[in-house]
Amino acid sequence: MERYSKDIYSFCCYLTRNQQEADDLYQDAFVYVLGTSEFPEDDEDAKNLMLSVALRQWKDKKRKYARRQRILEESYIPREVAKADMAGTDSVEEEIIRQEEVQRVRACVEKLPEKMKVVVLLYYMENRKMTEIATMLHLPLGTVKSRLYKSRELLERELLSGVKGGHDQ
Amino acid sequence: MKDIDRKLYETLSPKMQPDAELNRQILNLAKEDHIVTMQKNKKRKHYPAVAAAAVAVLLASSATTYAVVNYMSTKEVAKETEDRKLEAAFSSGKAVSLNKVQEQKGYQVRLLGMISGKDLSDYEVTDEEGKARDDRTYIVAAIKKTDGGILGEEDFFASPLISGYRQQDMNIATLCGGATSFDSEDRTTRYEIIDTDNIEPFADHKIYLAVQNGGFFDRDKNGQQGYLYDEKSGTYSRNTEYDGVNALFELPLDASLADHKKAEQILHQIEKDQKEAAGETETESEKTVYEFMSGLTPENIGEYATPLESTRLTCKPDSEGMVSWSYDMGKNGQAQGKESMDNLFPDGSCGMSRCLGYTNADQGLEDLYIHTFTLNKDGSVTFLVYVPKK
Repeated sequence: MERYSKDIYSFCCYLTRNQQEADDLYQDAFVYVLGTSEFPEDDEDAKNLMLSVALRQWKDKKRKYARRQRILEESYIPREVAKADMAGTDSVEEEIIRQEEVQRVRACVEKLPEKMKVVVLLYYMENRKMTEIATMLHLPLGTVKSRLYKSRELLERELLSGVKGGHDQ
Repeated sequence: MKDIDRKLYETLSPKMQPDAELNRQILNLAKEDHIVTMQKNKKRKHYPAVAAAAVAVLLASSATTYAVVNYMSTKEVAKETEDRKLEAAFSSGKAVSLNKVQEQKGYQVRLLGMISGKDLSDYEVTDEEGKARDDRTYIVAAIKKTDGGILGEEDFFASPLISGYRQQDMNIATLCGGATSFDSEDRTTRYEIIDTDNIEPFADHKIYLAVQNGGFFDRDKNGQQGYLYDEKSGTYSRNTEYDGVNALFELPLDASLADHKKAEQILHQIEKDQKEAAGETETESEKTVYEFMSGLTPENIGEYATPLESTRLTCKPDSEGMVSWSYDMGKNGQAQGKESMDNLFPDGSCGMSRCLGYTNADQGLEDLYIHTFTLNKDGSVTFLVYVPKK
């Protein structure tokens, strides 16, 4: 159950790219769900509900605050990342390399168009099935599959070009 | 599994933890009384499961109140007013979360929270002397219709009240206060931030927040006032005869915050402000004129003042019993007016009226013009201006 809150919070962090907004979104999503008439008893269903609510609220917020400038935290590193990444490493140098790769992958995911990023986060971060993602986003299954496939291609290309650039130096 | 899949699973695996404080705030929503309030008019299934699930999802917490669903939090209210400092203050943990509710006459008034301290807001408050009043109390409230309907142009007024002090002496105005309000996007909720001088020095008194419809302590159509003050105990209560919204919340201030010295200073300032407003600290010029005119009568006017013959004017009252007058004040421009015969000559006696009017700017006796009206035997009235003898 502890992982539950971590999952939702991590999702909010990646959606918003801003810690304060992530806190707000996380809080709002829970507050909203508490006000609904039914809360699923099944863990996975409950998680799906929370994620759907967070997504919907995020879309509403973006529409509402569209006129305001958002200050992106360029070097935003979610909490606990450093600790978790440090676990099980053999040397400082290996760890630094590993962390660089982690940051590179994350940066590439960040750059994805929003529609694709959401699908990637739900699939890889939240371990949702494609059918579940389709239900949550009110999309045809084919659309979800297509967005996931295109996202993978984009990310592969982006990561490969990054590696090549490094070698050229 | 493809390499890209592996990388994405590893990299994006959830690792971010919410703050324990954040979870505590949300957890408090699972408290039974909050949920009862929230769900007042709704059908609910699996009610206990919601609370249980929410608690199971989040970390255990100590009690921290938080605004219920469908209301903005205090920090969100501050954010909406684009007051970043106040938003940060309400996020700081030093704020007091309240969540008290009263319902009257089809409206629900909810107290959301409060905070006191120095320099808590982006918006500076200055008094009439231009002095910054930066040690403030901020109270956040929300008003809705009980049927959830859209709010119209209803006015609401909110003010602190302090036991032991009458409302005319201790209120939002005398505490150099104000209120900022806005309606929610769907126009069903009005949010108010009431700010005043810091009221914590009075924390050993009962401190209330009064919220009523209308303006500054308006009476209802039957002349009833919203709040009753008990002269013996110094406490306030709602007037149940009042035909309107008259919510009265007692604010939970820690009595140990009381500061009698500061309270004295605040009282002294209020007294000073009130005296100025009442004109007791009028200018020297005004004092001089007032004293001069107080001693002037039709019998001694010739001794102390000189007539300006150029202003002499004789006329008959009009059909409404009014006498019109006008004259040239030289560099001070033109003066004109109308007076009522009933006021000037209540008993109809001929001679100079005891009602001596005057005009002046701010030069004291230098630019004082005294207006006299004399009833003549033929029923006409002679208007004549006098100026003080030098």
